[in-house]
Amino acid sequence: MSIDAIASNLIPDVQAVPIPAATPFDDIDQVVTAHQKRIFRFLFSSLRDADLAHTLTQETFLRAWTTRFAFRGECSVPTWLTRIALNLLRDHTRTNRFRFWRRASATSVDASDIAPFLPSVDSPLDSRIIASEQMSLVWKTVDELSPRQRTVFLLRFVDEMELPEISVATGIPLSTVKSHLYRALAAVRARHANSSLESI
Amino acid sequence: MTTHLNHEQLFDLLLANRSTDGFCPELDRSRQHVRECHICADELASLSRSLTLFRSTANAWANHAWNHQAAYVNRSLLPATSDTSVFSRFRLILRPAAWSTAAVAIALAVAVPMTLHRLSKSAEAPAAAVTMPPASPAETRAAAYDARSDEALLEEVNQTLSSSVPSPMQPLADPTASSNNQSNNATRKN
Repeated sequence: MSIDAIASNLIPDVQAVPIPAATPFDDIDQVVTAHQKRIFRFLFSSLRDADLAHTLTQETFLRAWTTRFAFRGECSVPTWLTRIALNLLRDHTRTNRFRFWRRASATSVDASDIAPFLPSVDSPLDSRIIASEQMSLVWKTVDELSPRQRTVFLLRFVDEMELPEISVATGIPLSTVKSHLYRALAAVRARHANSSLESI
Repeated sequence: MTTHLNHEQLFDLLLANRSTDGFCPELDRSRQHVRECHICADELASLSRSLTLFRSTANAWANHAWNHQAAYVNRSLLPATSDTSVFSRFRLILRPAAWSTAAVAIALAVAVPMTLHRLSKSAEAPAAAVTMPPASPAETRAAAYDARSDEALLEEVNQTLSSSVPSPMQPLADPTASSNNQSNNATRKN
C-alpha cells in the first residue's frame, strides 16, 4: 500500500476527532478579573473568614476551568460560577460542619465591627447611630437564618441576583426561593417591629 | 378602615425588579397603595433602607477583606516592588535569615543534648570502674579459688598441647616402660 493510500485512510480518522467547542472560560484570566470579587464577596458574607473565602474563590475558578466543557450556555457565566461556589461552600460546611458552626457562632457579627463600613460616615451622629442599628438588625437576623435561607438572602440582597438566577444557581425551585426570601424578610420585619417597640 | 399591605405584598415590592415586573397589575396596585398610605410607605422605606445598608456594609466589608488579602498575597509574592518602606524592606530581607536561624536553633537544640548525653555516658563508664564498692572476704576467697582453678586448667591444656606425643600414644613412646609393664603383668599372672 502506498503512503498516499495510507494517508487517505488516516486523514478521515484524524478529522473525526471532535474539536472541543470554545467556551467563555477559555480566557480564564478575563473571567477571573471580571467575577472574582463578586464570588469572594458572596463567600466572605457566608463564611466571614477571609482566608477561607479566598481559598474557595480560587477553587471556584479552578473548577470552572477544569469543567469548562460541561458549560452549555444554559445559564450566564456568573450564575455558573455561583453554582460552583455554592457547591464548594456546601462541601466545606458538610465536611467541617461542627467546626464551621462553632466558628460561625464565635464570629457572629458585632455592630461595632462593621460600623466603619457604613456609607456616609460624615453624616450626623444620630443618623449614623440609627443606620448602625438598622444594619445590625439585618446582620443579626441573617445570623439566625437557616443555611439555605441565608444563602438565598445573600444572593438576593448582597449579590443582587434575580430570583430565576438564584433558582438556577441553587437548584431550588423558584417558588421555594420566594418562600425562603419571604421567611427571611418576615424575620427582618419582626426584628424591626421589636426594635421599634423597645425604643418606645 | 384602611387595609394595609400584607407581608407578601410588601415583600413583593421589595423583591420586584422594575424592568421585568413593571407591568404586573398586582404590583401596580401595591405601588398605588404605598403612594396613598404613609404607614405602608414608611414600613417599606424602613425595610428597604435596612436592606440597602446591609448590602452596602457587606460589600464594603468584603472589599476591605479582599484588599487586605490581595495586599498580603502581593507582599508575599512581590516583596521588592509592592513594599517600599524601609522597615518593611528590612523585615523582608531578614525573613529568610530568621527562618535559617530558627532551623539552626532547632538543630542545635536537638544535637547538643544528645552530644552531652553521649559524653556523660562515656565519662561515667571509667568512673564506675574506679568507684566500685569493696568486695566482702567471702567474695574475695571465691574469686581467688576461681582464679587458681582457671590457671590450673590453662596449665593442663598448655602441657597437653606442648607434649610431642599425644596422651593415648604415650605408652608406645617409652618401650622400657612397656616391658616393665609386661613383666609386671607376667609376675601377676604367675
